[in-house]
Amino acid sequence: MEIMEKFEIDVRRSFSNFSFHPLERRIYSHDISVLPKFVEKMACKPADVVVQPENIEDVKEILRVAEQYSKPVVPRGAATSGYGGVVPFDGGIVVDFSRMSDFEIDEDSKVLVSEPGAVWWDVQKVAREKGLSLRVYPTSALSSTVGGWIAQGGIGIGSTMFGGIRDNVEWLKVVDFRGEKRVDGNGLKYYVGMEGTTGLIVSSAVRLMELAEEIPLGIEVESIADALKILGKTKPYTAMFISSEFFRLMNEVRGADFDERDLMVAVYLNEEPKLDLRCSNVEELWRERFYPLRIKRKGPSLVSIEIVLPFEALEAFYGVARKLRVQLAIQSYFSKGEANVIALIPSDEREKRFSQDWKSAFKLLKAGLKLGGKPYATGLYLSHLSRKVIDGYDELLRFKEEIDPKNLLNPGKIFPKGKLPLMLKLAGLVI
Amino acid sequence: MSGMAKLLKDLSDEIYACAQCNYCRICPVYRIEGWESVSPRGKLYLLKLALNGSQLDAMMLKDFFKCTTCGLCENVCAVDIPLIGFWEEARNRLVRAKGPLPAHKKLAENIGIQMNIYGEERNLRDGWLPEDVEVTDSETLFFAGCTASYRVREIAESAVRIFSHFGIEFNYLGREEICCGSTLIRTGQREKAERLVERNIRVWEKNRVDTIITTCAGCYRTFALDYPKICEKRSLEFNFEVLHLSQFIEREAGKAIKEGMKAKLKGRATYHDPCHLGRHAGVYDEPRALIKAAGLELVEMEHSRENSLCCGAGGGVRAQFRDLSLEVGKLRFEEALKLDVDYLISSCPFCKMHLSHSKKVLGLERNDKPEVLDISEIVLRVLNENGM
Repeated sequence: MEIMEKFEIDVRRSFSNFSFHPLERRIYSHDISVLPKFVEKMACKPADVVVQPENIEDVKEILRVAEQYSKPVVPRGAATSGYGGVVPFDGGIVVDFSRMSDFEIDEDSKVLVSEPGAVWWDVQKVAREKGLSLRVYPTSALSSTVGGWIAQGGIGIGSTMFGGIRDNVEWLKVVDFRGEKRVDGNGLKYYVGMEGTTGLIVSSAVRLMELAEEIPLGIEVESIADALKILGKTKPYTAMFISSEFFRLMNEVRGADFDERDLMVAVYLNEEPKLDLRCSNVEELWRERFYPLRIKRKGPSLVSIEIVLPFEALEAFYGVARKLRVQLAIQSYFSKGEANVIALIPSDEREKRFSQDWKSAFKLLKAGLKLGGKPYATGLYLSHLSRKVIDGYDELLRFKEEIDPKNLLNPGKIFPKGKLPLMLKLAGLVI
Repeated sequence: MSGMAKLLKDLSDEIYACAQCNYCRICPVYRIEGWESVSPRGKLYLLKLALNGSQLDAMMLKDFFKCTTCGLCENVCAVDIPLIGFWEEARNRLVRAKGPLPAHKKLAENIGIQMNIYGEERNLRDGWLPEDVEVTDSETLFFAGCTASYRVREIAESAVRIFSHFGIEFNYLGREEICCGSTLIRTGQREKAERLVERNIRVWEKNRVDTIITTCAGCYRTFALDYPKICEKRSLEFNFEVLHLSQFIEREAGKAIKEGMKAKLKGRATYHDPCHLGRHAGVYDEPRALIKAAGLELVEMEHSRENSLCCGAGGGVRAQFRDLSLEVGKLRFEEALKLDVDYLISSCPFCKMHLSHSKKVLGLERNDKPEVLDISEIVLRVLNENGM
């Protein structure tokens, strides 16, 4: 019997929820990114099977099967990121955690204990009923999962006050080929932001805060430098800087009536600060925090890059961005000492200009890197940058090789594999 | 370019616009099935694959129709894709390429022979009409629809008794009444529905109708939203005012019910917004106003108004995927159960029929709370309470 047949029989015997259907496998083999077709072809070989575990035992069984048949294991939350972190480039088992979505909220310790597939906003609804609230969450919180964001790492809403998701995880339960373990303290660095390359997150504890009244203010500033000054003077829960181009595009695609000028949106908890600057109530804009992708309608595709930049590099970066001859909307989310800058270019993947728009995006990424920034995540597509931008990369690599000697845990992500990174690097030069 | 790709080409802007953000995960069908091939974003991705030459096999085509066209996905779409209309368009293209699903084909055959979706005797269509209620040649037409004519007759009867009570003259076409075509439009068989549209329009014109009142949310949506578009396409005049019974009663007798009824109904009620009446047509307030006017305490389910959950029956799902439709119905019924209400009220015979069925599947007896009722029955009950 062929290995593949044996693998299929084993999967069918071992799990209740799986799909070998070729189109279902393709549905589960992409994320929100759309790259030029030739890059996509290089970067993705669809999953051999999609499995939906219901509990930790199922996850352990997936790893048993993966090891036995030397199949890559690609964990998947809601796939709302765009770095190829959930894209299987060498086939294997895509592990869709949507059936592991239970969570509990410990009111005394103000901690969320959650399975990986729980959705942030489902958690928030329950937390609010208990007088608590998430400290940090991604702007995709309406659908993205707890496990997904922890595995990806990063900055989001609330990061101005509470830092990134890494700063808010108390402990994790992970499963690797040796079994199940609990990780906390310094050990978290081997898992948070590691995209499942060192183990699959099966449970997590995330810190919450007391529920507070959110006061969103739109603060009219002349520049990003002014926004940073306000950030220094006041202590917002979360703050972002939205470019005039973003409002222009929103007005265009939604028939909205936003003032087309740069705006800082800062959200304060319980008490409004005294500011000399012109402020406006921006409830609507605050509700729109989950919808930065609305402007995709203009495309209908969107080319985007996210760069984490130190505060001191922001002004120079905006200068470079505004010189690009392309319609470009920018949103910057402030964290502690750095900001996640999201640059969005409405484009059309059906037309030649799509590659040109990617070229502009790469230009911006390079400018950001020169200014001391780093990509929001390296995932699959930017794994050739990992050594340069990830702190303690060599130590993480040593850990990975020890835990996963066959490189089956989400191979190609973070840690470049084979010729793919070189080819993607070349593609970056070409497009 | 493949035949399918050609058929889908003019939907390409919407297909490519999908951001794959998964905000549409709230889709009740996806919540039940758990696989993205039945989720809105998964379906859009499949269409994108089809546009680029992939073949959709029979299983994926079938999965594509696992959608009640309730429109909850449109409500949350991050890129504002008009999904309600989109799904119907896409279904139409798929049916043109591959034909309708078996149960949907049967619906069309039933209509072709008996002019109703159930294949019941056409001659029995008016069997529900009470002998003591007078039908006149009024310009106001009561359109009972297939479901209230054959399956949930108490709704049609309640409606005409309410008219009688308030002395409202109405016309009813009896055996001449034929299906509105809603089910055909929802299941991708629009060309067949268009023939019904022409026949209905001609009969209404012959009877000098100017206002059409329906108790069925599906008929209402079809007359109010689909007929004008189809008429424009086929160069027909559409000069009719279309009202749901709840709108008509609220307008004509809302005050009388609120202020004129000494005896009020007692108890707690929740209201289920039919997708076709609520999210599709924006009618939310009139049924609620009538429930309150009848004296009931109105409490809302976790999902209500524009966020309402579908009963599970629409879009041809009840016909083709009965178990799935009942699982969705159970989700909805359980929301009502959480409220400990006496009544679960809707304003659509199809919703009433399906929610009652879902109640049974949940193991509840007919007399167990909440009682599933239509808004017409509530209004009639309060009239009866007052000895009218």
